[in-house]
Amino acid sequence: MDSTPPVAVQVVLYRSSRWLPKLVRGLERLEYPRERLRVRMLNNSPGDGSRELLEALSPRLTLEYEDSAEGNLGFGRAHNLLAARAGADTEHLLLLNPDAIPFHDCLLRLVDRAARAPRPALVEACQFPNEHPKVHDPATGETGWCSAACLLVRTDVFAELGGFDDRIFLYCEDVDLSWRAWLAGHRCVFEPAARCVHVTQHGDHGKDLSNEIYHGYVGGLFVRQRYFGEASVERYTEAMRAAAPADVAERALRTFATIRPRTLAAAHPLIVDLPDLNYAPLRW
Amino acid sequence: MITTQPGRVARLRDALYSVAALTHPGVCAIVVLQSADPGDRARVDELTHHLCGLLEVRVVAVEDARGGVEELREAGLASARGELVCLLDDGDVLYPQFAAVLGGALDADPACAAARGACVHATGRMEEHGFVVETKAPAPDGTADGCAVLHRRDRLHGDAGGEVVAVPVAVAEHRIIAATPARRMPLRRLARRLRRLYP
Repeated sequence: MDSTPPVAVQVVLYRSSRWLPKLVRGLERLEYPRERLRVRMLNNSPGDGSRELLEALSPRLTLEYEDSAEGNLGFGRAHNLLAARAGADTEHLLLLNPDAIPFHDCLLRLVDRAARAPRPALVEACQFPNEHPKVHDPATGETGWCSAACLLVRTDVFAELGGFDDRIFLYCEDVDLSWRAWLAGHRCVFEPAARCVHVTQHGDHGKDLSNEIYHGYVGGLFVRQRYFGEASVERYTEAMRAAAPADVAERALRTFATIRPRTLAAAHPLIVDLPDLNYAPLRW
Repeated sequence: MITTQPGRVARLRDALYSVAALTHPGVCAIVVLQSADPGDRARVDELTHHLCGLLEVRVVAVEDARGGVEELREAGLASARGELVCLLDDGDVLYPQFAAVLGGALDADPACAAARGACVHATGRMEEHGFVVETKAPAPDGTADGCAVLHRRDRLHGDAGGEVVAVPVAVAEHRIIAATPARRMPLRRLARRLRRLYP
């Protein structure tokens, strides 16, 4: 256990108080040396009761909480701020969604995978019970992109890449980070033995998800522009207009126009422009 | 309530974590352990320890259940205190909103004795187990068997009767070993289809 590296767990909250009790208890149950584990939470919706709830929960681990001073920063920017708080000795960041509950051995298995050669920069946990269906190599674990719902990232690589692109407010920032990692010569892997419950709001039947859909479209446009160029954006726009309510599609296009990135010239075999609007081939 | 058979305690981990993640408040688990093997009991106790704070787990040991699964379930029910009960085995996994959705349906209709969701037969992770999958669409009839059912505990016995309401957006997986090659598990697609059918 003495050789276990220091890990900073970081969670971005947004109206997340209902998830906090189980998240905190799940973090407390993680098998990992306490002196090498630090949890930081940044709340993008200050005043929602999360601070008071955390105080009431009295977590039995080192936990730093802060309210965003600038309102909702978005997912990537908030994680970047938290990553900047990590000390120089922090070898890994564990990015965790608030609606996640890591299995007790999840972090140990992620760290173990991260230490195996050739060392990956990003190690994604297996989401439970609804596993993400994107493909990975069963032998090496290599995958085109890693979901940030429960993701171990080497701190030095996160800094080298400049963290998440904070022009993306929500969704696809993890795709973009993974693809920049591949282009920079790093590896992204999926570790099936490391499991993490991910509740996901898609199971909240009846919830209005139009805002999430809008952000998903903006992110989708962003990564297509950055990695595949104008023709891909046009195809995506057409598909988006066919699938989304007109006001949502037009709003996404207006936002995209304000953050449009330049198209990168580099290519990688795991960075593929799929016609089905996914970011990797799916297993089912 | 989860019944587990000798030598299958390892499968209990997923079942218990799925119960721990249920969004319905006040959930506890009763594990009915059919085993005289002290190793099995030790493994259950270890799991219970890992879930401490996340889920209250009570263990009922039945060493020699000659009455089969019914005897096991009766033993478990004898220690149940909650208003609602779901009868699982160690291969079952509930989706997080399962109990909240079915509990809401029962709250809305006091005449109903049980609420039934969709039971998806699946083997879980194909890479882990080396086999794939059998899928089964929700049964069209109103039968209340299988893991995807939430019962009112006081209506489980005798002639209490009552209707079963179907709410297929509540999903449970029954993770079995498929004897024949079968289709892969289209859970996300299934979820999308169910949302369209039952908005």
